[in-house]
Amino acid sequence: MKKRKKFLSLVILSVVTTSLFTGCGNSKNNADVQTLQVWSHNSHSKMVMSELIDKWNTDEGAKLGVKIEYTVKESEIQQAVEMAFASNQEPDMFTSCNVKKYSDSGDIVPLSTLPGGEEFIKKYTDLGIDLSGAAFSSSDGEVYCVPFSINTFGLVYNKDMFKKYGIVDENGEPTPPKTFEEVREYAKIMTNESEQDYGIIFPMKWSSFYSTDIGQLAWGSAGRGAYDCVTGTYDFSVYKPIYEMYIGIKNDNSCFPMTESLDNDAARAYFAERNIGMKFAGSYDVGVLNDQFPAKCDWGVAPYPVADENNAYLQWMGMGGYFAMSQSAVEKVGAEKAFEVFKFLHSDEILQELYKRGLNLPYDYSIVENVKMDKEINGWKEFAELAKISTNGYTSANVEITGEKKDADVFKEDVWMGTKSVDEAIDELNERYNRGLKVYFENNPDEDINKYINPQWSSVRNGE
Amino acid sequence: MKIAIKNPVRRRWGKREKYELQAYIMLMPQIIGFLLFSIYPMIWAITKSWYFYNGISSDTRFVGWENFIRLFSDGEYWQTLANTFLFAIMKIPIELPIALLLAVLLNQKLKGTGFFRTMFYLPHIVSTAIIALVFANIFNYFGVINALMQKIGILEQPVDWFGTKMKAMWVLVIADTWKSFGVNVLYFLAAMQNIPEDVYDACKIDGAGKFTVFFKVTLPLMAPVLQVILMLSIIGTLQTNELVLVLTNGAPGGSTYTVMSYIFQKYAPGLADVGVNVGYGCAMALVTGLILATITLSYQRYSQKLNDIY
Repeated sequence: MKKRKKFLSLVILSVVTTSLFTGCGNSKNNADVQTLQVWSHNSHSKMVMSELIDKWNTDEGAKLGVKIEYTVKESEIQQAVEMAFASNQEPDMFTSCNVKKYSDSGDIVPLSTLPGGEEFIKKYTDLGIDLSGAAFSSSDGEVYCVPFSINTFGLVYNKDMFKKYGIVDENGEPTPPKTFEEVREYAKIMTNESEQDYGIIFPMKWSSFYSTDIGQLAWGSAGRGAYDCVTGTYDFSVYKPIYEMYIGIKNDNSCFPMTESLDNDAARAYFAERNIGMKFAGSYDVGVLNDQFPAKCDWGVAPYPVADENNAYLQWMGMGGYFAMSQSAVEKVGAEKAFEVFKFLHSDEILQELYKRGLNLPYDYSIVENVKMDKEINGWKEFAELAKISTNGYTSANVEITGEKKDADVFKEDVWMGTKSVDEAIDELNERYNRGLKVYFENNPDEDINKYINPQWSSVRNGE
Repeated sequence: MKIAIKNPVRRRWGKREKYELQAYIMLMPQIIGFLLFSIYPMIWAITKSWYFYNGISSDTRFVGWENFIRLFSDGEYWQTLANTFLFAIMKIPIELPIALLLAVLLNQKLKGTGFFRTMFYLPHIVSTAIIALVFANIFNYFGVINALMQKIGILEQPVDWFGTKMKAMWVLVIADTWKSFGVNVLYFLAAMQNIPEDVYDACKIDGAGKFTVFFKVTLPLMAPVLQVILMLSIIGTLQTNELVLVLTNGAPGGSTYTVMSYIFQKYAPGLADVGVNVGYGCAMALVTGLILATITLSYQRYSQKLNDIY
């Protein structure tokens, strides 16, 4: 019995000792590999990004001695990052960076200070991309972020409805509207309450409704937004035909009911499920209408309509900054290795894979021009091609209008509700924003308004 | 043999101190939580009321009383405050009589009262966001209310319940009443069950009818509790926030925002637009807090009579 006990003790002792040594061995290996925390808000591409990062970790990462730990913060990434910085647990790289805030505090690294940073930035500026905007640079001109993917915008339309109501060409193919007037006209034709057919749907409860469904339309129509960089002033008259289209559609009762209480998810689901003729949409809606709420209708994509089709400009596309690098990344692995990780996250390889899977459009279409799609994704190519007639415009000068209504509120609360005419609203906004512009630059004497003025700006759409 | 001499005075103080220490230790988590998550943020927000503050340190500057002065000419803010009072005026006269009526019914010695008491209380423990989503679906253009009303012939066409301010306000009132009436039923029941039986026996001997007993005995004896219930209802209604944010988010055209939902939506960092003057939102919250405190104190003062009935 005693012998048996002795034997058992020896076995246990050897197992424990071996495991301890094994542990030591592992920790030695781990000590050679430094982990960088990378936070992103892009939940839609989480799976693909994780696959690509796992592959990089085992190949290039292992050689460099760096491991990327990729975390998707589903929502409120800005708050999460702020809390993380406050408790010294900041991510080493993160998306949705407020460049002004974190460059002021010295928490993020200017790209030009990294080895090869200047050449890296040049790759973007050579393409004509303006990196002086607040999404990329601090007020002193240092670049902290570069673009990665873009969102293009347009009008998705229900081909079945267009055919049903005879809005077709001589070959019987649907003809989407090219002007604001046509949008109103077609919406009226396709609205038939008794069959629950509706011309168009507006998600007015959605926080981005105003920018996506109104503000961005002005670029293709007038070549600029409310801020005119040629004169350095605000001029909301570019919104007049757009506001008038909305009021006309409201008066015609040709939009889907519940406009005021619809958010975008509900509107997309209704478009997918019911008989709705048109909806303003972005390239990010492709995944939604193909997978999340697969549309029951045959749908197509058209450019944003304009006021005058013979006088069209480049339409709007979204091109924000992508990852920013925290000082902690440089402190942990050194500038060279940190920049290798940064370059990998912005690489063509990732962009091509995301495009192939229908998840992201690249900032430069030539990167994916020859990429073959895994499968045909309805609407994806059409949205990608809109990049050719799109611009990400210029940065608007800031205004200080504390305690006064912004343009989105004036539209929703006054114009749409019928308490103010379109002209009254535009006059009010012009006065308010130009006064706010003056106040902002008085209160921020270090800022130079000339940074926001470009007398050469022109975005006439050629070949259209 | 040793005789232990105990100092009775010392022993009593020691025990008391021990109890006190125990009490403080038990209270500590609550006190720390209150200081950290209520008092500290309040002080932070109050100090920011005198600043232009958008979260960026280099933009932050002291603006004195500017935020407060601007607030007095901000029509949107005062409109949301007026909405809040309108909401309270619409809701409280419906919610409290329903709760009182149901409490009277549940106070009868009938079978199944326990079941209904639980059922009435259930909505109170359901998340406000879920209630808002449920009511948004019920009152949807293609929802059950419109379908039902069309089926029984009240409506020819469905109604867009969120298409006008008053319709949307009524949906909010119905949803909020459904959420909170149950807890008031419990308060009223507790108040009724505190009334001594012998008072009712004396009424019976005097030949008083049911209505006379209710209005001349039950209601006056419940008056002190009624004062508290009414106060809680006023405060709760004036603070309505999540329900509005999820159910209407101010629709149509921002006309159904209550003051709390408006401040939260427009000035809370993370929810509001980037670069918004959070300091102005803090000034707004401070002024709103003072207004609500004044209303509560005035109510307490002028409703004192309810305490003095018996």
